[in-house]
Amino acid sequence: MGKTIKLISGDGEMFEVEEAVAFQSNIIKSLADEDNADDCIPLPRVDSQILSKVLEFCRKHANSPSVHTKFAAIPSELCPKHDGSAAGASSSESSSAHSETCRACYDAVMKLVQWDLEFVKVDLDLIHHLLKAANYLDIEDLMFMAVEGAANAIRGNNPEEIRKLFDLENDFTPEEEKEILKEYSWLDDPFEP
Amino acid sequence: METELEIERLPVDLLAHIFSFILSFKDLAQASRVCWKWRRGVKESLSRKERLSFAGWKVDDESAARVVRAAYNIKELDMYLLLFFFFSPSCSLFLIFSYEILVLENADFFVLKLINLKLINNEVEEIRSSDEVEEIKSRSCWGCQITDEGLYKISLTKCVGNLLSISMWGMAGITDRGVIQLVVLYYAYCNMALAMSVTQANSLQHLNIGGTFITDESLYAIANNCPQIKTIILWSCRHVTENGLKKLVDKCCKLKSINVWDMKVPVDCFLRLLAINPTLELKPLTQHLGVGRIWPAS
Repeated sequence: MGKTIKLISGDGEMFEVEEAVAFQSNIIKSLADEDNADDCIPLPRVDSQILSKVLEFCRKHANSPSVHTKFAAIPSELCPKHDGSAAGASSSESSSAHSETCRACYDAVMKLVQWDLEFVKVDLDLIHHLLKAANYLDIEDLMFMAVEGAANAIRGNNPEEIRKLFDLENDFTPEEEKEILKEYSWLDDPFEP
Repeated sequence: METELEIERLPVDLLAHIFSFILSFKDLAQASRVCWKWRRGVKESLSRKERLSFAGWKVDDESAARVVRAAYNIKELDMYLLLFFFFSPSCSLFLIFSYEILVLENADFFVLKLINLKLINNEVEEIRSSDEVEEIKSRSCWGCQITDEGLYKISLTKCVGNLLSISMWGMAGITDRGVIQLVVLYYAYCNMALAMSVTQANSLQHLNIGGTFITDESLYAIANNCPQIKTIILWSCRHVTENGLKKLVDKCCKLKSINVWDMKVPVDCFLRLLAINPTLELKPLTQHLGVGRIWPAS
C-alpha cells in the first residue's frame, strides 16, 4: 500500500517493491532520495536472480529492527504482542527493558534469526554473490548473514574440505605445507592423556 | 551473466572480516592452512581480533606467544574458561579475561593475564592489582582444590555462555553436582543470548571430564543440554555405567568421539553404542574391538 520503488537489475528485469523493503539498502535509499522522475533505480551490477534473493531477504526484514548488526532491542511499537500500543517511552533504555522481558519479542527475534540461518545455508556460489550484492547495495543485515554463511562453511572443516567448498587451490609447496602444519600442531589433538 | 569468474576470489580484507566471525582458534588454524591468501587473511583477522579463545587447548609458551604477537590489537579477551592440563600432580583452573600473555617461568603453563577474576579455593574473586598477579605467578599449584562449589560459582559468571570447551581433567573434587550445575546453567544462558548467538553458535562442543567422580547423572544432563557436543572425554570415570553412555549417544547426534579409557563398563557395552552410532570413535579402543569398525578413514 505504501509507496513503491522500481528497481532494474543488470539484465534488465524490473522489480517493484515497497519502500520499506528497498530502503534496507542504504544505496537505494540515497538514490531514491534524489529527485527521480519515474522512481526507477537501475542496479547494473546485480542480476535478476541475485536481486530476487536479496529482495526476499529484505522483505522478511522490512519490519524488524536490525537485530544482527546493532543487536537492537525491539522498540515496543514493533512488538508483535503489544502491537502499536507504545506504552513505554521509545527511549532506548525502556526499549531494551521491553524486549528483555517480552517473550513475544524474544520469540519473534529468534524466529527471524532461524530464518536467516536457513537463508544462508546455500551453496557458496550464492553466498559469494550475496556478499557482493550486500556490499554493493550496502545492506548491513544481509552482509552480516552472508558473512555468517561463509564462516559457517569454514567452521569444523579441515583445509582440504574448505578448498573443495570454496574452489581454492593449494598453492603451498610440500615443504611449505609441512612447516605450516607444524605451526599449530598443538591444536590437532587436544586432551589426549 | 557476470563477466568475472563464477566464483570470484574474495579479497583479503573481506576474508579477514569473515574470519572475524570465527571464534574457535582451531577453525582459524585450519583456515590458515588452506592457501597463501587465506593465510594472509587469518593474519589480518587476528590483528583485528578483539577476542581470542584458547579454551581447553594444551598450549606451550611459544605457540601462545606467537598467536598473541599476531593478535597485537587484542583489546579484550572474552571470558573463556581455560584449563591447562599436563602430567603433573597439580591441575590448575583459571578464569581468563585477557589482554596480555604472561609467560611464567618454571611453569608448564602460562596464564593470560587478564582483567579480573580468579578462582581460588572455590571463591571467585577480583584481581585488584598487578601485585596480585605477581603473587599468582609465584604459586606453582594454584587452584588445585577446585570442587563443585567452585564450578557452581563459575557457572554463575557471564563467561559460561561463551564456552566452547570445558575441561576438568583430574579434578577429584568435581562430582555430578558441579558438572550438572555448569551444564544446565550454560544452556540457560545460551538461550538468552538472542542475536549474539548467531555467530557465536554457543553450544558446548568439547567436554573433558576425565578423572572425575561423575556418574550417569552428569551424562544425562549433558545429553539433555548439549546438543552440539562433538567430543567428550570420560576416561577413568569409573562410576559411569552403560545407561549414562547410552543416553548420551542416543541424544547427542553430533557426538563424534568419546574417550573411554579405564572406564568400568563391559566391552559389549561399547559394541551396543556403536550399534546406535556406527561412526562414533571410541578412543582408544575402537581399533581393538575387532568388529570391523576401524578408525574412520581420513
